[in-house]
Amino acid sequence: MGASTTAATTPQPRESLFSAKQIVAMALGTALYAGLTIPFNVLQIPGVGLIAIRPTIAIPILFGIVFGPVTGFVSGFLGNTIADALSFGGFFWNWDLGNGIIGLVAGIGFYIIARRLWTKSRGLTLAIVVAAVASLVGIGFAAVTDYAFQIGLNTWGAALSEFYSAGGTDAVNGAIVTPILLYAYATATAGRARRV
Amino acid sequence: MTEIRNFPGNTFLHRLDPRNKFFLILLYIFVEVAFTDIRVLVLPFLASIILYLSARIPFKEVKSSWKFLLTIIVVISTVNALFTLLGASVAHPHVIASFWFLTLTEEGVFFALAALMRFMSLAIIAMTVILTTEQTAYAPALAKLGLPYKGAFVVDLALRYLPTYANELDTTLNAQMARGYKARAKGGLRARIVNTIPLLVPVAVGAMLSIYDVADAMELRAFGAMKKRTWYREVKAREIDYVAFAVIAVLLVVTIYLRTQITTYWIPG
Repeated sequence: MGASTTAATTPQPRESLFSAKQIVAMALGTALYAGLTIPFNVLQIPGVGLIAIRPTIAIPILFGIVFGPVTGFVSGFLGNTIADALSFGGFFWNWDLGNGIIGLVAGIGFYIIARRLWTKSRGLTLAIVVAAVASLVGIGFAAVTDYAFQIGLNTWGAALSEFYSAGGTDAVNGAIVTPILLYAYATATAGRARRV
Repeated sequence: MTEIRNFPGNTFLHRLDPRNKFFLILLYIFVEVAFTDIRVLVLPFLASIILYLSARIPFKEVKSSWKFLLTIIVVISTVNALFTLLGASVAHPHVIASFWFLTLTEEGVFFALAALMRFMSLAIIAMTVILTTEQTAYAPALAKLGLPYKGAFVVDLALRYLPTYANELDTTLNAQMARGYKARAKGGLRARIVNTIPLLVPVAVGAMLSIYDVADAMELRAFGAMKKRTWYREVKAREIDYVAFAVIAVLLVVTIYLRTQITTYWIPG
């Protein structure tokens, strides 16, 4: 009784941003995002360049919610870089950064969605909102920089078209898939005796 | 396609230090961002083709990548030409031809060509670098560039697990299909997204659970105990690599100077 009381009141040391768990989460999040995105990159939205329908956008969002904004950013940025390099042989720095920003903004969920809410409707609703907002912010960055640096676009209309198509579908993909993955992960870890 | 495959060879690019290849890609990114003048863009475009040909990569190995690139060329050219033709950024365009609400202008043609060259240069050079660099060289090269070893380790571990998760997706797909799952869903966007859940959930959750096992294994081997560590594979620069670095540095200085002189499109006449 005394030990559990002590454990409950003893302040826990703050986990390092670059602990072994975070490093592995960044690496596996990157590998998961890239490895699952490549097969989906063949599903192109017609007429808007390389934008693909990507349910896997939920991966960096999920990693941002579960492990924090830095892990979300690295998973999105590196994962998209590798996926695009292997799918198209290209390197689109602003879209890579945009995907990183999606994971970074989704990291807000790390602070506002407590672990106990991962299986509750309130937590899942927050996850939907976080996923949609993060997608719009990240894709918005990519579309704006495409226009600002005239990478394939030179009119605001074309940039908006790009934003509506990619941002809209990523927001829908993220909003549908993220809460399902979050719920599944929470359920899978609920009965584990090991640390999670 | 989910492994970063390189094709063995003994060409200049195969032997070049991976760090110089990173700098080359960064130089190309800078040129893509900085210039819209086709007279400047044609030079890195030709250089990327020469470097690709010098790497002697068998065409049959990169046929699918070239198919993608050619598809993108058509899409980008059409989209650019269409939006530019609407004349939002040109006050008095020089019209070449017109049909219905579409008007072909000189400005549109040169903008489309410039956009194409920027995209193609970077795509070709990135493809060439990836195909001439061993997967095990990326992490030690990044570490030698000053990236903390934890950062380089993230890249190394990600490349190690990339084919694992791609294969797991394939295995999961086969297992689900044996249980009656249909990969191609009928219906709108929502139905297609929901249809991917039986594939994504097992692979994603399985990967996330393994994070703790891998982290525990690393901590048991004193990961993070020392600030510096060595790598199994060493990246060492030779004389030719110093020369190549000097050339890239000079090109960067020239590019920055040219950027101060050339700030917009060029249209003949």
